[in-house]
Amino acid sequence: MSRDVAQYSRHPHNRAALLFLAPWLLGFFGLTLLPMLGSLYLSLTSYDLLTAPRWIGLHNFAQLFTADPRYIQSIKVTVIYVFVSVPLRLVLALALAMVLRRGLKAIGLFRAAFYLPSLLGGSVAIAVLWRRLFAGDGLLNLALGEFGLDGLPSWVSNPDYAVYTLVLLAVWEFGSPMIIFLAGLNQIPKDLYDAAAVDGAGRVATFFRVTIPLLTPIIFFNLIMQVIGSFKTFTPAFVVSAGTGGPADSTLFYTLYLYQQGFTFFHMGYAAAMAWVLLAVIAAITAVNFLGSRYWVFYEDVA
Amino acid sequence: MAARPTSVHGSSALSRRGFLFGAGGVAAAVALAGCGGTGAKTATSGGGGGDITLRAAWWGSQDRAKRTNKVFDLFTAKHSNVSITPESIADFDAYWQKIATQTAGGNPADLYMQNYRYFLQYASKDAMLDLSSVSKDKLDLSALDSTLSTQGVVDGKRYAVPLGLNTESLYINPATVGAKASDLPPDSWTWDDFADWCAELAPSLPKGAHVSDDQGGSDIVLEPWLLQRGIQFFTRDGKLGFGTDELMEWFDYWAKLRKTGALSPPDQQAQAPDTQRLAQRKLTLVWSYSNLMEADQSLTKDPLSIHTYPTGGPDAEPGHFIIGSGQMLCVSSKSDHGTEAAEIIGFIINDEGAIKALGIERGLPPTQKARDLLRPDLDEVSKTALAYFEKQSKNAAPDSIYYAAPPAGTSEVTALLSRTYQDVQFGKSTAKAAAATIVKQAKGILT
Repeated sequence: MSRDVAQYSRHPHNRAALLFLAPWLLGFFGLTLLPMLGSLYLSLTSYDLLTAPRWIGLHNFAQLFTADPRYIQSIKVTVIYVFVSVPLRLVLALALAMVLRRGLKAIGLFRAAFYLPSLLGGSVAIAVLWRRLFAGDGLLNLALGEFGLDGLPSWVSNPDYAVYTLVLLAVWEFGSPMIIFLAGLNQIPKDLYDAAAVDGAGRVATFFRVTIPLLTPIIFFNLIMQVIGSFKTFTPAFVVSAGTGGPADSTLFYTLYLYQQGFTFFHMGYAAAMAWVLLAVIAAITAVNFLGSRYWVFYEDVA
Repeated sequence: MAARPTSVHGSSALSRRGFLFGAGGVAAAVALAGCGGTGAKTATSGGGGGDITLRAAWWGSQDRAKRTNKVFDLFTAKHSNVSITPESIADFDAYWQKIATQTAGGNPADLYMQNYRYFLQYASKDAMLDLSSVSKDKLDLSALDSTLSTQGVVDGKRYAVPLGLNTESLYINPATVGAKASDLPPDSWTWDDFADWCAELAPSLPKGAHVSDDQGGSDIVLEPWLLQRGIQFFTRDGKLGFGTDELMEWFDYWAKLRKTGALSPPDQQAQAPDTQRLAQRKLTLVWSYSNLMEADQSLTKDPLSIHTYPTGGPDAEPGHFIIGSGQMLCVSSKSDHGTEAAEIIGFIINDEGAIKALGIERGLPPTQKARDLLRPDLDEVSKTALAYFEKQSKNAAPDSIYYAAPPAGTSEVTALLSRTYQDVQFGKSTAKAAAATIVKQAKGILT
């Protein structure tokens, strides 16, 4: 074993490999790991940028969970957002992938068109557009007004609905999971479908007994990626609420509150603590997902 | 943050303030506009080699950058050994993130714009040079208005110099009121007059139009109301100056007005900037500052009319204040060339060329001499604003701790006020509960 290692390190290609890896390694240690350790330290301090950080131990974390109603509110908003938008987005992505999988004419055009929102969705321009669409005198209400619906609220600026306009924006960005589903669907062996047809399975049965089981690794992958991405959502809420998380904190996403604490109120230590809690929560949810995946994700090669 | 007031009162107030600083611009959210212009640096090329290089930082528009660079050109033309590197950022919040980061890193710009919300924080950390220590032939501030003696000053030491002045003002779009001048409010009116006027006007407005936005959550409107009662928003030692009783009374006032139908409903208030609705005749008046008249007027062909905020009546204290602390210039205590940087401040305050180059873009200049110098060239709108300012200067409040020395945590307290008031507006909380929450949490923030 040790001889193997020695041989391995003497291998002439290793130096070259290290050389090529160097930019990434430098970036990883210099720009990711060190700042992360720095932020871990800062999370245990009170730091306003102007004076040196002051060590306060776990006080920031205690404050978060015992004395900050806005923090709890930001968790509520984020949880609603993640748990409503991710399933909807995945269902829509899968549904469209199923449709696009059939050989329509100009299929490439459709794929591109459906993917487009994902490229634009995170942008400031779309968030501004969203404000206009769902304003009291916005396009949506004008359209509904044609059907005689009157006295509708301004969806973006009403605390009861504001977060759902952002959910809708998120669902609309179904492009990247859709593309991944498409690729996954095309990998399902045709003979399985033929076999199902021979056995007399209908469309529904085929979908649930063939397509879905074979697609579970892809669904799982998309689920993980989308959950992580959704927890980190920032731009739409920032732009739609002009950075306040309003009205009445109804769009106060976790990351937006973190930003406010760090960069508006200059509570850098507190913001760092929030970031670490978020990291821990995302890691925990991902771990639970992986554990749960044993029971529903089906890998062909393993089986 | 905030382009122009995009959401309800509070945020409206915040963004209002943003504009008071001249942050402005819808693109504010994407902020970093990078360094402005090339102007200043070239000025040294003709001179003696540029031994000293200073960095100067400010926030604001392209127009402001152009004007500021022009001043630096004028300065370096006279001082050939100095060259100035401009660092301008469009967005107010992004600017302060940069200044704070630079200060933390021990490398702040030599000369930078200061604002009342951050002033005390920087002063208490000795981040700024005491300008009183600079000799008078380098920095002569004797021409400064006496109303500015508390702004930019801590414990008798002057750390920052006001560049642009303004005072609270209302803009009314007369087209929404009626044609007669008598339909407009009188020169001076009380809060009761204001409420009566609003209630009377409201029924005559078309559907969807309102007299005023609900200002219950706005610190900039609450502050003069408190001053009129002899109460400061913050006390001199940085505590909250008012209690639940005052806040309840204030919320009550707006609740009554809300019932008359004169106030914009909260979701309408949140969805479009107040000045935009003023221009569209969906709103009769906006709560603003005197230096914004030109900007607000440029949005509409209806000639706007400028008015005072309501007063507390003949026996009350004045509530409005001459504000110079929104736009101040200071020198970093870490600067190797503090004297030269201070000299630039003196140049900006006293030199005729510099005064003309800056104009009134940051507000009215802080000396009578400069205002008289600019007066003949002003357009009609600015002349009206100047006349209003001069009238208001005569009986302005002698001191406002809110504008002169607000404690660290001010922006948190004002955000708390606006946010919690939104709960009241949307019926998610009672005025009583909101007032108690605000006072309790504000005390926590200010300890």
